[in-house]
Amino acid sequence: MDCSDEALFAHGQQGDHQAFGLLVQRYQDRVYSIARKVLFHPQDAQDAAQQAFLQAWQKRQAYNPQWRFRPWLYRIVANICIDEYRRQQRRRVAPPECLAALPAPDTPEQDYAHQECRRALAAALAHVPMEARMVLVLCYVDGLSYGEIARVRGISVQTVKSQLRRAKTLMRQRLEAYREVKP
Amino acid sequence: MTCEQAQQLLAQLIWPQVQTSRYAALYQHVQHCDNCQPYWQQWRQDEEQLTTLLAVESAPAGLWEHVMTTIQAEETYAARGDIWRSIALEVSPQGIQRLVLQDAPQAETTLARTSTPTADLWERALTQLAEYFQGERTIFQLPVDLHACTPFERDVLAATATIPYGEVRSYKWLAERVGRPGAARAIGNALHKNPVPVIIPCHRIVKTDGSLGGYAFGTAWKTRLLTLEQTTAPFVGCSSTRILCYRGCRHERRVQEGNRIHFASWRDALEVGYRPCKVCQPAYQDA
Repeated sequence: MDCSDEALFAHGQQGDHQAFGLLVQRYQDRVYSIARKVLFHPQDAQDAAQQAFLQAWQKRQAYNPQWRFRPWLYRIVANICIDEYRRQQRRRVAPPECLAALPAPDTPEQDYAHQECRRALAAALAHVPMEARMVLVLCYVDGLSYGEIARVRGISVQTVKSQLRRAKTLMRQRLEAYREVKP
Repeated sequence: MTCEQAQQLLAQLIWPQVQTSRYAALYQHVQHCDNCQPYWQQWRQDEEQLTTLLAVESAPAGLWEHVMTTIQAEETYAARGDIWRSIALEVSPQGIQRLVLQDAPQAETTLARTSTPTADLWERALTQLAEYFQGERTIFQLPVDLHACTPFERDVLAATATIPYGEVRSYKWLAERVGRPGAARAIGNALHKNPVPVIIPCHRIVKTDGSLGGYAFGTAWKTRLLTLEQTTAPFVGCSSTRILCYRGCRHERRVQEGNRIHFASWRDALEVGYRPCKVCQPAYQDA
């Protein structure tokens, strides 16, 4: 049996829950991570991830089997995250206390310097504008190519590159400022 | 590769997008160039930090289950027809608090997407209501929350709840039943305030002269409900066990298709040798 994303989703389109369940299993970590790095708050990220999968299921008939599944799914996730971010902005919800809570990936290191460094990095990421942050996250979390990111966000490859550069420059500036304060 | 080219490349290079050929040339250059070493170190440090910060992390347990249960539930709702769109429910931890029948079907049902303590009850209520409207259920097994009602209203509603499926009683009968003969109009008011119509069957009260009387959600709904009840046989007997159940009782669900006998009256069933089910007690609930 063909187990590619597209083949599984084609089964899902015909109402096969199990096939869609496999896709959810395959993508849940990545989808959750994207939402987590963009929205920071774990609960918001979980809600966004759940909503993304539900929307993918509900809109399954709008999916063209010739499309690649991954960029299509990520486009849904990205749009949901951006909508949620805008809602938060309107409500002026600042998530500063959540920044430090970005988890250390499987490392048992608990030393203070390491934690401090992560905190500074997360804070720097939070100061990157949303569009640039989304592009950065899509690039690093799942290694999407420039072309794929462009398709996910509906922008040109050139804009993807400039947003990435912008995000990295901003982060570096923040980190340098941090290192000067705390050498 | 010149130093200028190397530094320009380092300013643009993103680790996940590295192309082997360009990276190899860059790597070779920086290994032998003290000038570019600090840029190289800085780039590596930045990329390492970003890769760690933006690494994939495990989704919380339960995400998959939640998605799959919601999908399943939505499919079930879709299969149950359109009655959802005409019903609005409010549920408190104590029970069903409010049920509203709407004339114009709503564009979208409000499905419980998060697991709250009341989601389970909400789900059960919708299932039972759908079965009722499809003629597959004649009794409701749901807690109701009548805290907003006065003691008199509660008495009236409790007496109303004893009227069996498919039958009607008059306002006068109900007034006598709650020990307030002559208060038929007050009874009418109390029924109008019934927060959970259908579940507490206030539509089974009609006027003494046989006319329909009023209904909080319009007489069209009252007619629809009474017509449904009068065209559905409320009892199901099992010909092998000789037990008689209300339609919707959990024992009725287990009766095999070949053994099902439909009865309009429990008296008929008892006369031909059936005994009432001990769970739904069809003969004893009759008022």
